[in-house]
Amino acid sequence: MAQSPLRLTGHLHLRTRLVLSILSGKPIKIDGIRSNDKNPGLRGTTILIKPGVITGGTITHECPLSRSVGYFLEPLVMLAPFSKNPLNLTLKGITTDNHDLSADLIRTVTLPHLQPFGIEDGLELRIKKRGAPPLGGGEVQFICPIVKQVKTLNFVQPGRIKRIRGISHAVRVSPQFSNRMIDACRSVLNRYIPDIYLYSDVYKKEESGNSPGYALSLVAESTTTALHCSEAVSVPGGTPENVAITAARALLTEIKRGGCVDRHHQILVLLFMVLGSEDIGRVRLGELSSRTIQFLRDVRDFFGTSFKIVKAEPLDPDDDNQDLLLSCYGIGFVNVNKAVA
Amino acid sequence: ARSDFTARTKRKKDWMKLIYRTDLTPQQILTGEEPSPEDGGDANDDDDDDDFFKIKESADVDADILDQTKEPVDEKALSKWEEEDMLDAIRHLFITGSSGEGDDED
Repeated sequence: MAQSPLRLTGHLHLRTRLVLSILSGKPIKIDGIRSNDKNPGLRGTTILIKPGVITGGTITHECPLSRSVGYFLEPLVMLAPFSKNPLNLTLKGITTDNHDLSADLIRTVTLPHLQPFGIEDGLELRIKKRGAPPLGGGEVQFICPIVKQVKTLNFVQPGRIKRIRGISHAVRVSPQFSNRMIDACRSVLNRYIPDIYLYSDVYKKEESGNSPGYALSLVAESTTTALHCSEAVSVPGGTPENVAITAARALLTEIKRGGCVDRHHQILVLLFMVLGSEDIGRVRLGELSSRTIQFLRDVRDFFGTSFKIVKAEPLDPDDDNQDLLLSCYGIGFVNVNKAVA
Repeated sequence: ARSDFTARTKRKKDWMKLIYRTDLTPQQILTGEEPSPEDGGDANDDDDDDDFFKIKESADVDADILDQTKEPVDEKALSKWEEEDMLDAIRHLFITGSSGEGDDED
């Protein structure tokens, strides 16, 4: 069984490559990790990964303050459904930052993206305490059911945006900041649809973490349940109005990009399409992100699966829509770890 | 004329070829760099290419880029939403916009 490891280079895409290694069972050797850097991170510039069984179960982990809990949750969402036992994970640390999806977006956007694949019942993320950078102090609980197989996706109708939801939160600063974000956000979005609900989420005392901060996360949902999201986070010296306007405009940018899947979730959806039952899965996407392009190459290396990618038919004859239609033949992944009930 | 050119190349982009059969970096693919006909690897027929070649030759230029999911906020790109024309141009993407088939939500 001595499989020679797949060789990869560089520090980027580490998390998705770990996921691909674990799910495919292929060992990987990544070199050239910040090889010219005096402070390369990790301990060295090369790592070798030999994947094993995803055990799941009840786990508590204190995340380092260098990255948010989202950094860890994003790949774990891809792995947890294929554990031996359902995952009940508590992560402590920073719950919202500028680098990765916040706990709010993972709860309101990432998890719903799993639903069409048949991962739904018992799937939950609870934000128990919020933790802003730099000192964190937040806590989330992620509960994920296990599945034997994932369903094939066929999602090609983006629909039209019917509602917008948002979560405005402020910790260890004036609670008014949260309302100011909501007002400023509405000044941009109210023109489009009446169904906008922005929730002011207030956490107090020990539930509000160790550092001051505020943020606004937004989700637009279409008539066909396509989701697009955006988020903006406070910066020192900034104003709640600036954060809100940035989040609102970023949401408009995402909506304009089109497709049936939120841009930050292209990789998640494409991965589950590869794992899907032995049938053709289809999805309509807006402009691919550069991470997605690398992921498509990596998927071919790990699973031998290439996607067919063609320009999608415009929805409106006069629309300059650049959507793409991606399809692939699922490998029929079976979770052999799943314990017999 | 230049924007016409980029719009045209964008439309004609052969994604499968660019992704699976060239060595262009994801960034190069997105900015519309074309592979040369011989090896499908590198093209250099556009002024913009110079910048990307530096990046490609020295992989560690991106050592400071974190492996992160959110893309950095592009204030310049977002500022275009100050314009009413821009805001109006996406109305058709909402159920309340025109040219709809009469969705009956709410």
